[in-house]
Formats: sequence, C-alpha cells, structure tokens
Amino acid sequence: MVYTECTIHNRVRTTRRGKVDITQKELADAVGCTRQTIVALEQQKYSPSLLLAMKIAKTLDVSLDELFELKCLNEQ
Amino acid sequence: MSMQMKRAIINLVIWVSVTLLFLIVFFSGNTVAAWGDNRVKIVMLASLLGIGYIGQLILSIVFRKRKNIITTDERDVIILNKAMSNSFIVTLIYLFLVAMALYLYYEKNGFVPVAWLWFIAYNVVMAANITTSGFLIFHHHKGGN
Repeated sequence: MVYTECTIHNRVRTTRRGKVDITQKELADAVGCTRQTIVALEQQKYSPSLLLAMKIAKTLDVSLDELFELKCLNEQ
Repeated sequence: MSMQMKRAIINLVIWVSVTLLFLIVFFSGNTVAAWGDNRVKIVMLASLLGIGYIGQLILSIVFRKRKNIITTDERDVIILNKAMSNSFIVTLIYLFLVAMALYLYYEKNGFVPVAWLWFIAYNVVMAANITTSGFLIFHHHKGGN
C-alpha cells in the first residue's frame, strides 16, 4: 500500500454566498466558532474537526460530500 | 484579529518590556559580585517578575469569557497547543545554553555565583512567556489570522 499525501478542500465560501447567503459572522455564530476560523477555512488554511464540519454542512443545508473534498497528490 | 491573537500580542509586549527592564537592572553595576549586599536590586528584580504576572492577571480579567460571545474555539485550542509545545522546546534549549555558558565561564573558579541562579530562575519564566506568545502570533498568522 502506497502512502499518499492528501488535503481537505472545502467549498464553504461558494456555498455560504450562493445557497444560503449569510455572512461569515452569522455562520460562525450558528456553528459556535469564531469568525477567524471561518476565514481560515475559506482560505483553505484550516481543516475543521468532524463536529465543526458537520455543523457547517447542516447550517448551509448541504451534505459533507458537497462541502468537503479529499484531494490527494497523485490523483488526477 | 482573534481574541487569542490580541491577547498574545499584549502578553508579548508585557513580557518583552519586563525582560528588557530586568536585563537593564541586572547588568547595571556589579550585580553578580554584590548580590547578597544589594537588597534594593533584589527587590526590584522580583518586583519586575511580579509586574509581569499582574499584567497577565489583568489580561485574563479583560479577556474573560462572556456570555453569548464566542471568544475561543477548536482552532484556537490547536494553535495554543502548537505554540506551547514549540515554546517548551525553545525554552529548554535556552535554559541548556545559558547553563552551559555559565559552566564554561566559571569552570576554573569551581562555583557559579548565586546571582546567576536567580537570573536563570527569573529568566526562564520570561523566556517561556515570550516564546509562547511569539509562537501563538506566528501560528495564528500562518493559519489565517
């Protein structure tokens, strides 16, 4: 089995702006985190815990699969 | 800017100021040679450490948790853990280097003046606070502020 480096890519910004149209502060308050964490998430600088990811998906009314994507180095 | 980042910046300013004053007081005059005879200087150095801790106490009151306001979250905890572990390593290296420098300098004498032990004792507290705040700011900056 070959180890591959993977990162989590999210579509929080586009979903937040498009589907529900709420501000970063509103999303942060709804899921119980700081606005800075939403900023870091949208800049792809932070991977949230499973709990926070599920809360965000629920608030934005999308599935986890729609919101988060696993990107591996050797995948096309 | 997150509350933790603001607190880290203020904490860094407090401890850098305390350390600079400490170094100025410690290295002025013949502190090492006349440690036991200069009670005023001993009290001054101890007071500086006290000022640092009072500053920290004021910070914890100012940044206390308020109802319905989210001040810290999981990302802050992760960043704090990273900063603490980095700070731990750097402080240990600092302590080791200072101890080794003193040993090499005073090797021929066969003893190290007690003033240096107080210097290390006070300085480790300052170094730990400065490095923790510094690494907190660094990791916050790296991780999206």
